[in-house]
Amino acid sequence: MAAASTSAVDPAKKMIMLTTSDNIDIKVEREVAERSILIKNLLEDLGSEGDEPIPIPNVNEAVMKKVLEWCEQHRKDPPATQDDDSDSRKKSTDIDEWDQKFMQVDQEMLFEIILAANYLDIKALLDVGCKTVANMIKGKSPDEIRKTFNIQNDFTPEEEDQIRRENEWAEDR
Amino acid sequence: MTMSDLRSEKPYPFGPLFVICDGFPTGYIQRSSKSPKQFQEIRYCNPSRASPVDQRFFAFKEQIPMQEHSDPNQEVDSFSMKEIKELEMETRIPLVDAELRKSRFSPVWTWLRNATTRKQRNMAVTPKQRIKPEKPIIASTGPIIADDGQNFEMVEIESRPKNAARHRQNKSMLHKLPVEILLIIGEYLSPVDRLCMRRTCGKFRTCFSRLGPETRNNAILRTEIVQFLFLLRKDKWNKAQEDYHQRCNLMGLGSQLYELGCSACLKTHHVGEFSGPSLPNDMAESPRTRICAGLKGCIELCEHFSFSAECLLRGMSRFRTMGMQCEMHCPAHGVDGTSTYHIGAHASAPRLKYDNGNKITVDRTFYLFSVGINDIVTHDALSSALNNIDVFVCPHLRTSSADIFRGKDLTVECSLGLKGHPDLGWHPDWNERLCSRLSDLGASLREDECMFWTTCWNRDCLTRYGLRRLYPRDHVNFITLDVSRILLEGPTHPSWKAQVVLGDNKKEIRPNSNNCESRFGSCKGPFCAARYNGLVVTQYD
Repeated sequence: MAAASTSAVDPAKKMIMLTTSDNIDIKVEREVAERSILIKNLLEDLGSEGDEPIPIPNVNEAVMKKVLEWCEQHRKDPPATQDDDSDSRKKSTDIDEWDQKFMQVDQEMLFEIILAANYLDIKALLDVGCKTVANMIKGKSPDEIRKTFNIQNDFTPEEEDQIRRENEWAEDR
Repeated sequence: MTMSDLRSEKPYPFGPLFVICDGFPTGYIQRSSKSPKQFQEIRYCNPSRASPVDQRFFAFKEQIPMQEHSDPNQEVDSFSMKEIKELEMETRIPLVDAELRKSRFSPVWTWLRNATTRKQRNMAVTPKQRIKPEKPIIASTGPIIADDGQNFEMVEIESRPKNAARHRQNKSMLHKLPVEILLIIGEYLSPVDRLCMRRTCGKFRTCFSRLGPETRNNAILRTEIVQFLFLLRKDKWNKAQEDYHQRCNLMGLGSQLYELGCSACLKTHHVGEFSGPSLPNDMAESPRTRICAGLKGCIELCEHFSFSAECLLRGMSRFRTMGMQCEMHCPAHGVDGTSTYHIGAHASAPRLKYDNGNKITVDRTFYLFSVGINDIVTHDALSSALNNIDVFVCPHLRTSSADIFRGKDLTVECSLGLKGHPDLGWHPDWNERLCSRLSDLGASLREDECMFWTTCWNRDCLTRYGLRRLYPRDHVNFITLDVSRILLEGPTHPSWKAQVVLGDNKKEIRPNSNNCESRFGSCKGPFCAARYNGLVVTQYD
């Protein structure tokens, strides 16, 4: 692993270059960028010299900067273990304070971050994003959810009828 | 005689007269082109808005013999002015409003202006010959009803064309997320939230059905059902409120809704419902904020909680078998210095119960004192205890009122007699008495129980109260005053108005959050019940 190296320039501190979808080059420390499993795998595949910029065609500059800000903050976090995450994440939607502040962005940015985290394979960031969205949904009625997320009610009257029949146990009690 | 001559003819200088049904313009009436003494009703193509009143109106109209049509393809009925008057009388709908006619603020005009600027409705106005539903011409700022008397028609574009809605979904970032991410989000949601998500649109409906067992009956907790139900009802109520406000926007000054609408009941009331003996006349207020007299004030549950009448109305529309009770009366203290956990306990705490959507019951039990199982309770002991506790029975009575039991001799003893010997009367061993079922402390107050119910002197007030002797399984009996107050139907019912207390001098507990939609600071109704210590929401069967 990179951290184990003892050469003059710590490979973890080595700067690498990322090219975003809008053709902007962003310099970032390798350790920070490697929070992304996608980038980490790419770097490993390219070999240690990898001086050429890595193209990230699905993420634009603004979102990339935001994602790297998160990676910088969480650079020392232990990697999530594969086994227990499917169980432990089910319940709690608690988000730590820094992440909460970090996620205080407009809806478009929030969803861009989620999509970027999914693409770059940053599990922890994806989870934080999903938790934020879940917290926005919590306790809202169907109409309020539609309003919050600008969702159109596209049910036909027949479908509405069917839903009503399915949920008869909840109607008019 | 030309068309312009007809229009200039008084008293209808502005051409078409509008037909208003239940707050919505359903068409307009104009002079027949064939016979200037005849009127025709041009109906808008607006079938989806045919309310029961519309239907009544159209049904009645069918009975009037049709006059000859100027155009057989056109849906036109002819009326004489006399018939219009008759229609008005019969349907009680202001078909032709003299004031509106003269002003530019005709309801149709106002409505269309609102509809186009606020995009409230997908309505458009096109001349009849140029109806192109798929590409409607949206009314511009010019006059809607053309001066040349051309027949205009309202065309309702299909309110929710599937493709269009699906197309507009593109605006929603959440909707665009790939399914695998939506599934992760779904895992963080509670069953109730997932159920709500499934109600929002088709994609989420299929997507979230893979998660959780909540869609199967019995796989969801009872409290979760209540929560979900509460959210659905909230939507229904909000929708009704939106509709009401929209109708307020459509209707001009002078309309029935404008004059007599109540913004909490969302309907019109008789003029008398808005003013009471001690209330200023509110007819000058806007129908968007005006509320009827039955909603001004609050209803007291106990010394700790009182609910605004508006809150109770919302609760009534939302809950069928829910109730709330105050848990701060345990133990109950009597006038003789004794206290008991029996009376303040769960089943006999002050409680407010929503009953089937048309009735609210407020029950209280006051503990007076205890007696030995062999002691007969005297009139003097009872009346002095009632005087001492001096509590609120209903808005018309306190226990210290001289006429509370109408001067009768007070007793808590049952005269039903003994088992097998109905004539023998009272016996110290309660097991021997016919009324022994009263020993059940948790027994709810029922009409047929062995109690001496008295009703409030006020005929409108449905308050019953009575003295009762409880026989718990130890060496003392408890004497209580039980009060049951009933509010029927809604704020316009006399029983409701009789229970509402104007003004609020109660100790005010402010809600922790600003979600309470009540106009009264002390409201503890369905929106915030859970937030108060000591107030418990319960479900009845």
